[in-house]
Amino acid sequence: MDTVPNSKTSIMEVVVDFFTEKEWSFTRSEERSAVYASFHGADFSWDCYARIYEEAQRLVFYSIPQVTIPEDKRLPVAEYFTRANYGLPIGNFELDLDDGEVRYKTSIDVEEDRLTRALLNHIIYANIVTVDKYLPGLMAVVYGDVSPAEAVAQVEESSGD
Amino acid sequence: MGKIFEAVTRFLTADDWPIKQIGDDLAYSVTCQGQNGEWACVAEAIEEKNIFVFYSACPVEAPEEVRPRVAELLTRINYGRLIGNFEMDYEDGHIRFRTSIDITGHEIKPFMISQLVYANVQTMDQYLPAIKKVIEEEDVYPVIAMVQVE
Repeated sequence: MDTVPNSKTSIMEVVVDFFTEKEWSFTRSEERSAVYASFHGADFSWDCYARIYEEAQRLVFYSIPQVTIPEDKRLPVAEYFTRANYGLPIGNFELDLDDGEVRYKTSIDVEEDRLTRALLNHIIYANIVTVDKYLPGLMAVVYGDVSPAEAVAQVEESSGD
Repeated sequence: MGKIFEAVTRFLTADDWPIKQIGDDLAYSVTCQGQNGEWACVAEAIEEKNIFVFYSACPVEAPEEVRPRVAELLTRINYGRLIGNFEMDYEDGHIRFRTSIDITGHEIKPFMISQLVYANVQTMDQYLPAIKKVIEEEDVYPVIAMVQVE
């Protein structure tokens, strides 16, 4: 009996094909249903990973800057991210107030469709462009004693917002 | 009328949402009734960027003195959420939940709109009591308010 071919490529394969074509260095983990990579921007580098939920047909992409926020800076960073997040069209900054981990998240559900290269492209590039833009402000709040409001204003002014 | 706005109009109309267009904008406002309150929602098509955004606007605003506590609450809620995020305008205390999609190079489909809209209103409904509690009760820890609704 002929089997009906599965014409829907898995999200994992779309992500792997994307990183391969873009020549990103990456590691694939079937066990964790994730693909790990690194991004090198103009001034900063950071880790990224795509977490795949094949059954729910959902992809979540995270950028994880290589900075752990000290406890006394977590509330100022929470304010910085709250200010930065307001008005961003896609994705948001996250802060774990318990351990100081920061990340930027973009995500998509494609339950009744398939994840196309175009959709994935926006999930990833909206993410890394936004992190690259706001990372200097984060560093200024954590290490430069700049107020969150001023840090956001400086970042947005320098990018012409 | 742009493609995104057309698709949003078809979906919200077919789903019986009582929508009102916001002036000449490619956006609709609609009142949503949840289990924990009633609030305004906005469905906006940003055609030039190929983005659809849906907002639930929290019916309570954060007075200036409690904005840091609300920011802490929203930061805790946002950590680990897979779809959407809470945000607050620090200048006026307006709080909202945002879900959105960039569909450049793709066609917007009804299920995409449905997922963004329903995930959005369900999340606002779930966390609205926590937001109100943190705003109204100064001795409530944001983490406790959050845990109580999860």
